Amino acid sequence: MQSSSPNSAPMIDPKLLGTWNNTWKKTTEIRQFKLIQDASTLWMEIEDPTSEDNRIKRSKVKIYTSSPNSNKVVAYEVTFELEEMIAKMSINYNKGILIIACFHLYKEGNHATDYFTRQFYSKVGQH
Amino acid sequence: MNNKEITRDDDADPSLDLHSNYDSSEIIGTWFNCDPDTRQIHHLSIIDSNGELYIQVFAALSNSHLDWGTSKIAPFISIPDSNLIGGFTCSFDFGFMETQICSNIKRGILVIQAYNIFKDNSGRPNYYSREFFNQ
Repeated sequence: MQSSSPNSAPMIDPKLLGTWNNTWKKTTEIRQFKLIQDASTLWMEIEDPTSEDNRIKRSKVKIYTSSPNSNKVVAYEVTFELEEMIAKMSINYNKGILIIACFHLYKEGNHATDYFTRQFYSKVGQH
Repeated sequence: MNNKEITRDDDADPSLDLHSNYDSSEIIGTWFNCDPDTRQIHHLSIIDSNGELYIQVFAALSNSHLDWGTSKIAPFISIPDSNLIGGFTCSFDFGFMETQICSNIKRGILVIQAYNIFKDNSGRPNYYSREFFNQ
């Protein structure tokens, strides 16, 4: 384990901010989301696919650096409490793609099986 | 009786007997590198010409694009899915170097692996890159 302090606050890459589309047109998972920075906080906005009116949900994104003494942000984690489930997402960025590994946990009373997905997103307006 | 020679179990997959034609619908078109700061391939186009598939590559070069020209694609299906093309290979020979491309498609992303071989005795090592493209 490494233990020391970074020289400066973690830096959120501005390339991440904006709207991201699922690269797979046939997806039944999240089609689009937004990443927004407010001061030093990163937020993620999605449409709740389990709500009747597709209402917008916003959640704070936890950021992770590459080591304890680094300010280079390399991974992200965010949890959404949706109408029918809790969605826990682990996110990383690789060469223009955001990769979201998502654990879908159904709430009590719902007998569907919890499930896992891995989806790819590209930024809107890049080209 | 099937007396075709095989080297592994998948060589005898029944789906290989079902499909004689490739379905290129998922790879035809223009693909852009997802990384705006790429120093490799900026974008590429894949076209069907009389049933043959060709790729034209535009590489990132000093804030512009270098047209590598066109190369014929060797398509591959991904068994046992269907006759959809799941990957391809092609190559570009520039004389002083050669680039061999292996590609696969996954969930709307075209993954390009490029194996770059220098032939000019410049001492530069052969190198590899892997990048992602979307339409």
